[in-house]
Amino acid sequence: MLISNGKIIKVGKAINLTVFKIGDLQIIDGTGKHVTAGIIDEHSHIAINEGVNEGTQSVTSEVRIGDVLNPDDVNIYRQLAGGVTTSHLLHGSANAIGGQTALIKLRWGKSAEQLKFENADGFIKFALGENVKQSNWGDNNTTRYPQTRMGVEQVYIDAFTRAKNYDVARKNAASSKSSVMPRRDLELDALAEIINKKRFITCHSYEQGEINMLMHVADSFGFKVNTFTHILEGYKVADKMKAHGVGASTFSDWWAYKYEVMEAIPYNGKIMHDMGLVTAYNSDDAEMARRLNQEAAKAVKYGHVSEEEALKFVTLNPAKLLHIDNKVGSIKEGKDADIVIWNDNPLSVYAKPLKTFVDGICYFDIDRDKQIRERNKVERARLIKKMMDEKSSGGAVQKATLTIDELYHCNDNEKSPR
Amino acid sequence: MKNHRDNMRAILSILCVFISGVIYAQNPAPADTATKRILLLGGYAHIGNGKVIPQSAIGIANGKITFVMDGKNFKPSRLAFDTIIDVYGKQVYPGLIAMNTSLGLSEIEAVRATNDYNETGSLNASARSIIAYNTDSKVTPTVRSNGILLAQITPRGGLVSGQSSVVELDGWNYEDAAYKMDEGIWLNFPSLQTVKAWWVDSEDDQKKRSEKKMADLNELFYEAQSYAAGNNAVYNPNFEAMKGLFSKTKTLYVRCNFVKDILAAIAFGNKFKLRMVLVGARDGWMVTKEIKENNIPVIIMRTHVLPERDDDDIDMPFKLPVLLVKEGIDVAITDDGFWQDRNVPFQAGEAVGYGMDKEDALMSITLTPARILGIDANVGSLETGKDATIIVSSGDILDMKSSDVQMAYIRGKEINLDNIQKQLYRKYMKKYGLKEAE
Repeated sequence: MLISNGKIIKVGKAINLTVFKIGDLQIIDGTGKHVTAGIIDEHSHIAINEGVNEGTQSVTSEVRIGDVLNPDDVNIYRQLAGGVTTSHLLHGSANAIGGQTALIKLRWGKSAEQLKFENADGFIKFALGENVKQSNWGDNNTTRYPQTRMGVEQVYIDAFTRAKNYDVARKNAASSKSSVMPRRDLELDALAEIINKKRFITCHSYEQGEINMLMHVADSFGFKVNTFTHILEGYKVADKMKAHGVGASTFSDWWAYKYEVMEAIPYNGKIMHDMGLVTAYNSDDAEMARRLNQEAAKAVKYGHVSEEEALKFVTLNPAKLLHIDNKVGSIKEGKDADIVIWNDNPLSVYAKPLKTFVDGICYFDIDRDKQIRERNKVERARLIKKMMDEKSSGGAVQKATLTIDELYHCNDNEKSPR
Repeated sequence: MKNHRDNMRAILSILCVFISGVIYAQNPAPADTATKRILLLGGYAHIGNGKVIPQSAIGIANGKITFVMDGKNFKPSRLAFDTIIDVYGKQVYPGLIAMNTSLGLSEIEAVRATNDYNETGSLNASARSIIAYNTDSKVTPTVRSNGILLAQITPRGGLVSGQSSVVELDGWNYEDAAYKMDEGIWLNFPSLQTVKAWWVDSEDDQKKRSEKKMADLNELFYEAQSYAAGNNAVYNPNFEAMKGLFSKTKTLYVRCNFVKDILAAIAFGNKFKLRMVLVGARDGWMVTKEIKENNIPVIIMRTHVLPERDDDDIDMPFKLPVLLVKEGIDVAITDDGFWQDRNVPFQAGEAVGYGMDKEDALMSITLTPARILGIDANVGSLETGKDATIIVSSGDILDMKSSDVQMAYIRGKEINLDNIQKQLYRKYMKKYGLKEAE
């Protein structure tokens, strides 16, 4: 495989290197190793500052994850070490209509803006089910509409009706001199983008009824749902999902944590895949995101999906769901050089990434990581000595403090004070 | 007369279809008593103590393992066995043991009515998990299907959470399922480590709270120790439950992770001369000397966690087991949940990629848990005289890519490995006319 300027130039059994000067080439010996495309996580909450849920209203399409990126989250590095190269960062699931998502490449060390995946289609997070109706948030959360699945549908119909009217009014005002341009509404702007097929939905979902409901609502407004995420009962309506043209991004084997997941089965991915849906496995969890290759292996275990198809659950299929499969998701000439070199079959629990490349740059190298640990040890010792010298020469002291950062999940609705 | 019989037959067959539909979403019935003499021939036997026999012959009778030997030239006598099972090319393991689980104490995490592992109040030594254990949990068969055949049912919460028990994952009621009752008492050691985070109170308040808990804990143990030593006019349920700690017939399981807490817990255990196990022990790699010289076993709750600190080695949780094992410490690997326990073998498999020997990883989910629980005389390895609690997988059970448990025995009884998730799978495969890949 030949990589240059961030792209895969050539893939084959043998490449003619005589056209290159040896000094121009960095040659990596991959004998006995496995190479895959970088893993793509369709559902992640890392690298986000101070809160993942604008939980004040049930429709908050105006807020954007892209405004609150945290490029210093060490989980970016940890996930590179797990073979992840692209992550779709989502708003939480507190609202029927959540915020706009951010798609990033794990370019560890770059700034927040530099993390963003260039020219990617805009997505937005929707959610259905218990979180949206605040079922598990206790007795102090029983008044915000909606409190039942019935209300969830009404929220969508109301929101899209307002958005459609707004969109039509603004288009009319733009083309005619006489009518007054309605004032800009950021919430309705985003929803109008959905109606105009310029912004795409990834919807947190569990039960088959609500999945069916949203597809019907979308059809009635003339657009399609792009992805159902979690979608643990997707296997029950896979035929309808296929007809609608929606994809699925699910867990391999989570269940029993809420009532709405009590009929989740680890064969969900296999059934949806066999029914012809583009099926992906995601993490929604900073820990599991570093082992998505192992989650893909569970498609082999539960349902005997072939290894090649299972690997697609975490590479090409999420790329397709995110409309970036022309650039990433597989090792193909012309695609971005987002590549992982593994020491073993990537679907094995014994495998680990040796090197992870994003845009042809090696952002994780297992040997360099060892050197970094040594460097950190020396640096820590230097700083401790400096502090002790200060103390012994009479300087002011303060107690050492262990600071903990928050790890976000879909249903985290606490507000971090500033 | 003929018509009547036909009608009866028709009614009976309709009834059968109706009944099979009605009992669709049920756990399989518990297994019948073991009567068969079984031979498992040709399987790659992983004994559980580090040893293997590539082509084994394993005999089962009266619920016990009658022999485990090299089966290469074994010529079985048809009269000696009721069933001879050809397991050539398959892997044979002891039934796996999951420690520290809330299996049977929780059905749906978010639904309060289904949770019975966390009693209110901080001192609940007398609370017994075994009587709250639900043998009919829909979750249990899904865990069993991945090879876990015994589990330690564990209370959580408070300072002293209650008493754990060991069950077999098969049984009509908790008495049938119970393997060793009330074997341990669980303690959440008050943490001396204060943290700074927006969702906790000030470090001073944290410190005061911990100091109060430490004082309560010491008072509890001093009084319990007194109670255990003397004749008591007044019956005290908490102290009664704790008596066994002082005669070392019960084990104190101590949850702690920070290095200061591990050292404080060890000192606490020594002060009261207790049989102690550290649970979690995430900083244990820093104090292997102290853990080893006090002969304290360690239960690791998940290798699949993030490192504690931002600057910890990124693979610390994966290599923690081997860092302890190579210092001679007994290490059991498990989870910290209930439905998640079906992934316990993969938590152990994770450690193999970071230096742990495969058979040692297997031991951490079989013989070492058995030893810690004090049941290793009867279970935890494929050895003559032990319970015939055995699993057969077509592939490596530590690796999700190849794990496929096809047979399971608990004390010689064949276990039905079906569960509601497999039932739903079949139901919808049928709906769509899909065929299962071979």
